[in-house]
Amino acid sequence: MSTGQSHYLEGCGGCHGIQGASAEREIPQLRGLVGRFLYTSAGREYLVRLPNVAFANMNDEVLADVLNFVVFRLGEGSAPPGAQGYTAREVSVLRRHPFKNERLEALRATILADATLRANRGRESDQ
Amino acid sequence: MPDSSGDRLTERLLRALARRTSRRSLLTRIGVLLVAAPAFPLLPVSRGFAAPQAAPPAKSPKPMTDFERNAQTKDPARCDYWRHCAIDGVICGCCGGGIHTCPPGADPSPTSWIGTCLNPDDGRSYLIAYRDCCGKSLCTADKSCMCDSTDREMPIYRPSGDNDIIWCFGGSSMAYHCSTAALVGLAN
Repeated sequence: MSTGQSHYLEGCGGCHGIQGASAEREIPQLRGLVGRFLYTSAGREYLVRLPNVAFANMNDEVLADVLNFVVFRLGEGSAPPGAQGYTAREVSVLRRHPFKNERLEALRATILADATLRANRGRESDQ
Repeated sequence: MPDSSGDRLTERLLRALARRTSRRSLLTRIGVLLVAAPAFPLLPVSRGFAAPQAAPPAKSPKPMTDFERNAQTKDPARCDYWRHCAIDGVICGCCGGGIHTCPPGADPSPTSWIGTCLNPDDGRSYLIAYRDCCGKSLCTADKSCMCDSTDREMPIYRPSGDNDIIWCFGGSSMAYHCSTAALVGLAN
């Protein structure tokens, strides 16, 4: 088991699911989907600035490992082709600006819609 | 250099000893010691130094918790069973269920919280998912089945690590019945 997976399980997997499949009514699904956030810079930043991520009980290196496990492994190919993984440095900067008073569910819907649009455009241009 | 009082005292004692002890009796005593010595084993301290350095066992670098020092690996229906290091609730094994199965009429919650417990048999730490069984009122089991272990537990403002929460959310009912402790894998 990788460091990212081990820390994911201990810190996140209880709610998000051991395989990233969760009770969607309460907790956003990660499996096969979460990589899509990397289609936009807003989405990439969003994943780290979420309070449950930014305040996770992990140092920057471990948190970057967890994010990469989540985005690339649990995401199951939902990330854009050739997407760069998170680095500890990037995580360190982003987590200093956690979301505070934003309406997180509305924010997620907007960011995901935009990322989905980009993902679909990418697929159209491939054809 | 004048003699110190300590030297004088030692000299007096030795002279008194010499007056009372014949050379022959001294030689006899030394002889007895020489003959008897192999009958006594070497002190374990010297053996410890002589032994080659064994590889350290694979175990958690952190100091052991009280729970870990007293944990057992035989009876999962007791609170000191090693996987129950962070369980807060009634053991499902005492309610007609098992270590990872719900009793009839109760459903496993889609959410759980995950702890890390040390297995005393192999000295390794394992991730344990405490999954509550829900949809039925609290199991009335023997008091010995009601556990409150708190290894690595976090305060309530760290909800993913807090075990006071009823971990039934996401399911159809928030009624808590009992808790299971499924093995997820080896912790890093």
